[in-house]
Amino acid sequence: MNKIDDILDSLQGRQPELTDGEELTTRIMANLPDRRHRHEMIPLRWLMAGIAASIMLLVGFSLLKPLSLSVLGLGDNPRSLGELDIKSNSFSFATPRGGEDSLSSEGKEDYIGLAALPPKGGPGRGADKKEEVLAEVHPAPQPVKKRRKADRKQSTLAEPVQTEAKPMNRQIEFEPVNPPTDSEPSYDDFAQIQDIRARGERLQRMVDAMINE
Amino acid sequence: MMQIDETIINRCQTGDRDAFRSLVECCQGMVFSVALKMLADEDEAKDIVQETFLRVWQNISKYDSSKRFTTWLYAIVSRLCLDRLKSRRHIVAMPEDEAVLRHYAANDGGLELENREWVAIVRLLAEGLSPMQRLVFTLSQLEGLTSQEVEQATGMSARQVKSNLYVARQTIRERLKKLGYE
Repeated sequence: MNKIDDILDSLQGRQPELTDGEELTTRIMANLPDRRHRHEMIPLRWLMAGIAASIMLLVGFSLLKPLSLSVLGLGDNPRSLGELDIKSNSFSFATPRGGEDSLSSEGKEDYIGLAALPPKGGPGRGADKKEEVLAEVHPAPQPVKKRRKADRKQSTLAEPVQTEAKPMNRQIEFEPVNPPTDSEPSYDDFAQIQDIRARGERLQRMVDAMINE
Repeated sequence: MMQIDETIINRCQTGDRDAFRSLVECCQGMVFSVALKMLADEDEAKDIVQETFLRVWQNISKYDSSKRFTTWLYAIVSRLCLDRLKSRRHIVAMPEDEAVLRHYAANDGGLELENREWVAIVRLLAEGLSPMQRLVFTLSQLEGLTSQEVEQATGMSARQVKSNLYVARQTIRERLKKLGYE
């Protein structure tokens, strides 16, 4: 038989002999898993996977949530710091959610520092004046003096500020150097607020990206 | 292709081990044949037989009774053989394989081939074929499946089956010509 087709055709349909077929069958049957147990395991595996995934999500959110809800008040419903009233030259902080002031006393001082806007004094001295304002709010620690009632009445801003925290006056009034006209808001006011907002928004985007990863 | 009694399959689906044993005894020869011709190794072929029936046992509840059981079985063993071939080096014919083929051809194909002779012939014929070409050649040319059965077992389209088979036959023809066959 020299023809290639003949050789290939003669091989068609012929099967090699399976030696030790009985032994192979026994081996196959012995290694068969119990199908009932396998089906019970599948839901358990899914349950374990679900629990592990839930724990990881909870841990991830608990770590990221403080970062996302920063002192700048960013979150799902970003809130503004407050409103700048140009006419009355005052800045009012926004009322926190739930009516409670979520800021600590230290935080309040920080806000005051950040929002302490137009400095006293003339134009072009913004940096120096800002330091003076900050120094007013964060003075060097002074020894606590016991003051008599009479003395308290005479207290002025010139006196050293006591280390005990005063209740925060949410309504801040400042003296602009050049009182802006109705149509000319102070550049520093808006610039600083915009700067704060921009920083906050950048931070919020970073946090969202981290969460979405 | 052999016919499998549906009753046995239904009993296997309910977890009847005796029915499954009958199924194994009935079909393991067929599975071994495909595996040996694909892998050209007797021990590996037996491993594939064991693995195949393990998969059948685990997935028999998913078997679609509208299709032939043997086609489904061929599909499982084909996939396992392809996976095994991917992890192996290419099959290379040995010098003594040629002598086996000559001896077979000289007897006009009347000899009953032993497993080692099958391995030698298959090694010689399949050298240089890709796994897919080898599979299509084995199922179509050596096992005698129809084109439609090969399509169902391999998941290939008719065009792909034809193409692979044509290339496989041409490659084998060229090799046998070099050995002096016409």
